[in-house]
Amino acid sequence: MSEFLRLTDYALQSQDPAYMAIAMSLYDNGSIMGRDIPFAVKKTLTVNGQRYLGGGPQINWVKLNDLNLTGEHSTPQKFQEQAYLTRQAIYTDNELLTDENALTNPHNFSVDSYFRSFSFDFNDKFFNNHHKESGNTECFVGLRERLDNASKYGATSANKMNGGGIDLTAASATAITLGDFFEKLDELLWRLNSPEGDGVVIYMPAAAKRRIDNLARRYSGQGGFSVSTDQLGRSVSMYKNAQIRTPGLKVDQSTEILSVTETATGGDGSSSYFSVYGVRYTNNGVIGWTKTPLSAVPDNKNQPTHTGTLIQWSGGIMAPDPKAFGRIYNLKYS
Amino acid sequence: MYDKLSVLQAEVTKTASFNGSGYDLTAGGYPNERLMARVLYNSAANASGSGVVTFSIEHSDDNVAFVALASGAADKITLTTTDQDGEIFIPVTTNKRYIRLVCTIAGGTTPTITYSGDIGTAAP
Repeated sequence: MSEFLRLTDYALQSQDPAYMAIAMSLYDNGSIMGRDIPFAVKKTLTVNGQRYLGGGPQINWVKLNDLNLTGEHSTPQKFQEQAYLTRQAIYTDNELLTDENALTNPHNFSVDSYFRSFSFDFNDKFFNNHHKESGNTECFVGLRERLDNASKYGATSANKMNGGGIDLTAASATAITLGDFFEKLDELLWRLNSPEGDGVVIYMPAAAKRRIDNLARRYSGQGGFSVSTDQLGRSVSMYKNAQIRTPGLKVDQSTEILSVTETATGGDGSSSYFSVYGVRYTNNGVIGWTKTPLSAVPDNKNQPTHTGTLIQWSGGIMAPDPKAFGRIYNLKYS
Repeated sequence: MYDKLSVLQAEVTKTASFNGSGYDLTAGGYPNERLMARVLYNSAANASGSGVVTFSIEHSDDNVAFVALASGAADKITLTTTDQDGEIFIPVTTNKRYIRLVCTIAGGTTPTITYSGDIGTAAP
C-alpha cells in the first residue's frame, strides 16, 4: 500500500508545476479523486484482486508435534476491475487569444473549467453511477449501485444500513433523535472496521451537514462535528477521526450529488430523506489506480488557427475489503 | 474499459431468440485471453406471462458451426409487464477464433428486449 498516494500528496512531492496545478485544481473543487482516494500508477487496463466475502480463513490450533496441516482452508475470491477512460480536446480560435479586450486567457479558462467539471462529475460517478439505462456504461460503477447489488460487486449487504427514519427535521428533531443519529454513525464506522474513524471519510449532503451542525448547537452536549486541519493546513470537519465531506453539485451546478430528497427506501425521488456514506481508504480500503495520469497536453491538430489542449485520464477504483464502504439511508431531513 | 471497435452486438431490439454475428477474436486482438462479455439491456418486458431471456456465448473455428461456450443463465431475465434494465457479465475463455452472443427468449406474450454486447477483459 505504500505506493498508493492521494493526488494532493503526489502534488506535494512533485516538482512538476503543471501537475501541481492540476492536483490543486481538483483539491480546490472538492474532488474526491484529488483529496481522498489513494492512487497507484499502474499501466494496466485491468487489475486483479483477492478478497474474502463473509468470513476469513479458518485458524488451526494444534498440539505439539502435530504436523497434520491438512484440512479445510477457505480461499479468497478472485476479482478483477477494469480501467475507464475520459478524454476531451479543447480548441480555442487564436483570434480570441489575440483579442486585447480579453481580460483572461479564454483557452486557459476553458481548460480550467473542464477540470472543475471533471471534479464534479467524478464525485457524482463515485456515488451514483451505474450501468443501467440512465447511467454511464463507460465509467466505473459507483458505491450506491455496489451496495444495492452487494453479491454482484463484492460488497457487504449489511453495510447498506437502514436509518429507520431518524427524525432530523428542523421542526421535530430532539436531543434523542440527534443522539440516535450519532449512534447510527458509530455503527457505520464499526461496520467499516474503523470504530474510531481512522482512514475514513464520511460524505453527506451539504444541507444535512448544516442541519446536524444546527442540531448540535441546539442540543449542546450531544456531540457533533469538530474542526481540524488536513495535510494542506485547511480546516475540515471531523467526527472522531473521520473527516466529514460534502461532495458538492453535479456538473449542472444545480443538482446536489447527494440529495435530501431521497425516498425512505434510499431511491431517487422527491421525498425528504437523505443518506450518509462512509468510505475507508486504508487497510485494503477503497483505492484506485491510474493508467494515464490526469494531464493536459498541447494538441496542435488545428494549428495555426486554433490552440488546442488534450485532457485525458484512465484508471479505475476497487475495494479489496468488502467492508470498506457503507451507507446509511432513510434519515429524515424534512 | 471497452473498445469502440470491439462490439459483440450493436444495440438491437428483439422479440424472439436471436444469434448474433460472429466476432473475430484475432482481429480484435484478444487471442487466448480470459475475456468478459458484457451485455447491457433495457426495455425488457412482455405483455403478460413470465417470459425468460437468457444470454449465452457460442464459439466457432470457422464462423459457421458454433457450439455453446458460456451461459449467462445465472443472470436470466424473467420478464414482467414492467420494463427492466441491467447489465450482465459472461466470462469467456476460448481457443477458437470466433464467438457470438446468443439471446434466447422463451415464453411470455409479445416479449421484447433491447440489448447490446461488448467484449472486454474484466468486469467492474
